[in-house]
Amino acid sequence: MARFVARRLVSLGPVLFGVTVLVFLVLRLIPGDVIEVYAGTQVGLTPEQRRELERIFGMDRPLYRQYVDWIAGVLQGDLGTSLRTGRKVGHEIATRLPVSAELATLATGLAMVVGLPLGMLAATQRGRAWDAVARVAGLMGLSLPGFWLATLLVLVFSKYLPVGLLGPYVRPTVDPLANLRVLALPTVALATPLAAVLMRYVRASLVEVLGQEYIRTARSKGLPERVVLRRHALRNALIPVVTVVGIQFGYLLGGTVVVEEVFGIPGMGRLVLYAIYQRDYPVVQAVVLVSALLFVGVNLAVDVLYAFLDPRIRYG
Amino acid sequence: MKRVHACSWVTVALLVGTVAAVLMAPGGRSEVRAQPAGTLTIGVPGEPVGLDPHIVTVFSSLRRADLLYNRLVRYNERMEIVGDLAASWEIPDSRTYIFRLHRGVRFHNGRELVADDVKYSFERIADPATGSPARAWLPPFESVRIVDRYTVEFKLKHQLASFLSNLTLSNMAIVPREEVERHGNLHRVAVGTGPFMLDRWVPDDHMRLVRNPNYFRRGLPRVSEVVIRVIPDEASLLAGLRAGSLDMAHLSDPAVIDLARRSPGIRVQQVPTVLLRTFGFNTTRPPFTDARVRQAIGWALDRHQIVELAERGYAAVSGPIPVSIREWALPVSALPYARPDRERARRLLADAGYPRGLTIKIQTSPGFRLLPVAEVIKDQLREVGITAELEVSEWGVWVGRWVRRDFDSMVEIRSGGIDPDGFLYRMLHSTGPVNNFLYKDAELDRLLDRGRVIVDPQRRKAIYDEAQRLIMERAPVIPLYSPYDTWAMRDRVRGFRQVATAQYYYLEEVSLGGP
Repeated sequence: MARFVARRLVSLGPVLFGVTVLVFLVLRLIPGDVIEVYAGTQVGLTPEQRRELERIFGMDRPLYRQYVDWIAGVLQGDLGTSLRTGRKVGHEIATRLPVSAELATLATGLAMVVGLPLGMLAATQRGRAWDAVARVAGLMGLSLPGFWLATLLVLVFSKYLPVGLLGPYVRPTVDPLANLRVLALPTVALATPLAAVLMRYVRASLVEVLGQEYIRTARSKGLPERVVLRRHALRNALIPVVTVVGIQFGYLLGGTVVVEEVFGIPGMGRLVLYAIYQRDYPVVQAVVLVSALLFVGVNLAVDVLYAFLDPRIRYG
Repeated sequence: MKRVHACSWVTVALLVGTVAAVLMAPGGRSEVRAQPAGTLTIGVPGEPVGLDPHIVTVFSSLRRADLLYNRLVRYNERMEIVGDLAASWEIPDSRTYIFRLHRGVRFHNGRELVADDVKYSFERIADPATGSPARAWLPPFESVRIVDRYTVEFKLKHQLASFLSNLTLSNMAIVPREEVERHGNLHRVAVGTGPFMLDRWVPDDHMRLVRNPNYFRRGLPRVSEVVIRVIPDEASLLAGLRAGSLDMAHLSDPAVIDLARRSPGIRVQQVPTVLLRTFGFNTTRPPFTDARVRQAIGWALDRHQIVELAERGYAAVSGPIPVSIREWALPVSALPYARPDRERARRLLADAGYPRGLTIKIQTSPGFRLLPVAEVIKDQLREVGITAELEVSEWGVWVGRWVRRDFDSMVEIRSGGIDPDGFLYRMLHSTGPVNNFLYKDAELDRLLDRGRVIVDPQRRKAIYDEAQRLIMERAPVIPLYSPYDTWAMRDRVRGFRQVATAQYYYLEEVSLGGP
């Protein structure tokens, strides 16, 4: 096991290296240039002023040099400095990441609370009314675009049901209840498609397991259906679901641009969105790198968890 | 949530200050003022990037500097230049400006402000190493001389008629040398002479300013503290006002302003800003090389309708100089295109060789309300046979096209200071840095060159009157309107004078009534 983890950690190197190269290059390939956007249209930069800004932004160095300097900084724990705010990117991320993490946790939790029982219900009632209802609901949840659902929630809860669920973001340290209140709708917006995915996974996986011979054996030895389901079927059926939850959670951790923007939640998604608008290269690079790191980290954790959940899986 | 203030001595000082102020109030003002009391909580959309008044360029930072520092002169709500730190000034010849300072003005560190601080501040702005954006607004100085402890004399190398107006910019704050030297810059500390002193700054959350008990305007400010909360979402700003957690909010989204106006207990106060929304042409690209096509567009547009549809009425139709700059701006009715004349537009198009109309391109972007304006223009132009195609690009791409002058026509929002020289020279002189219309007009150049150096107000006024007419007639750009600067406030907020420059300094006069 230790060897497996070590090997996976080593293999992270090339992955992260690839991510850094990709984000660094792609960012500079977007049309629109950081200095032009910085100066805007009301200044009319002279060539000297432009050169001076290039020097301040460190863009007078050749591209490979900029990359090497950035990586050297990252390896020393310095994610760079925002071109816009002059603040350390590490600090910016440290204030934004907990917000996205809280939202990701809430959304994943809600999706599990809703998706798992629905999936089980559909599987055990296969072919009957409840199955059809759950499957239609799942398909709808899956097909609703996130931006549409989020906008719709804002509309409904501002115009028709003004019950105070919309408002400026409140930190949990300031007022935990108010914090949960403003996160309720974004949580629903993020959890809906995720719950639908989970429901379908659980259903498919459970249906498959319920068709296995050992289930028939369990039933034939007279076990009540409840025990068959809980002790024999679910344990096996839920293993692939762990992967789905893990991947989705890792994805949400990096911030969700649309939902955070619609609800004005100051998380990683909004940070990177505005950084892209302003071509704030260091911020975008750092956020993408941190998100990638979180994503592969969660994936690794899921793989390790697998070995505990399923004794048949052994990494050697 | 109410927090007990840690420094109770401030309260004591406040009381002492008030009593002193009442006792020493000049004879003319016999009314006894209420004690400064209460916390004024303001919601704004932007977090300041830094606080050094000489270096910052971001709106949100400059607005904090308005409260922490003073300048030599400032604009009042009628857009007249009045004294700030300068009690009076004279201009013995067009290159010499002598300012007499108020006595007994104290920095927040207790030291008295003297002429040397003025000299130091302008030397710091003028030093390229400081990197001050205000440097571009200063003429080269022949000398800055300290006449006596409270008098300073500027001698300019050459005439710059906009000099006095430029001194009102928030970047022109007077700062204490010793604090700059101690801290390197003033981004994280604030030691000004302003009505409020920095108490606490929690980035991305709020900034708490406390009343300066030694403020040189006796009896001001009228509240004991100001808390500025950063809330990027405008709907949330309004929600804060309604809930009572905010007293005032700076708004710009017309939809939110509409809602604020309909909210009980909330008052909306607006003035046209010194910004100008324009529809401009690349005068080197056909068909816009032909002035008749540009004029036809001028006559085709109904600018009042643009204001109604794109800004929900929250803007004032304007000529080339924003209407709010009353001293200089000609009334819209005295200029061409005051009312649409579509027959005339069609005739001009026919004369220009487009009797059956033509197709033009408008480059635009979703930011800064450029797109809604372009859409209304597109609709209006259809009525005279012009088909406008909108090319919508992402902001960075749009800016790139602006920089490279790679456009046929575009809607913009322009700023350029308050003096007509600052506004028009940069935008329309053939050498102007933001003349993206690539407009070259020897006659206009001559007028703008003269307006730049002639200080005599009457002669100068005649020059800019003519320049405004010329610009409208030849139409390298159609000025559309000045958007409003909008504050929404609870009824208990009293006495806020709004300035067209959107500067915050008159918050020093705001008082709070009942709950």
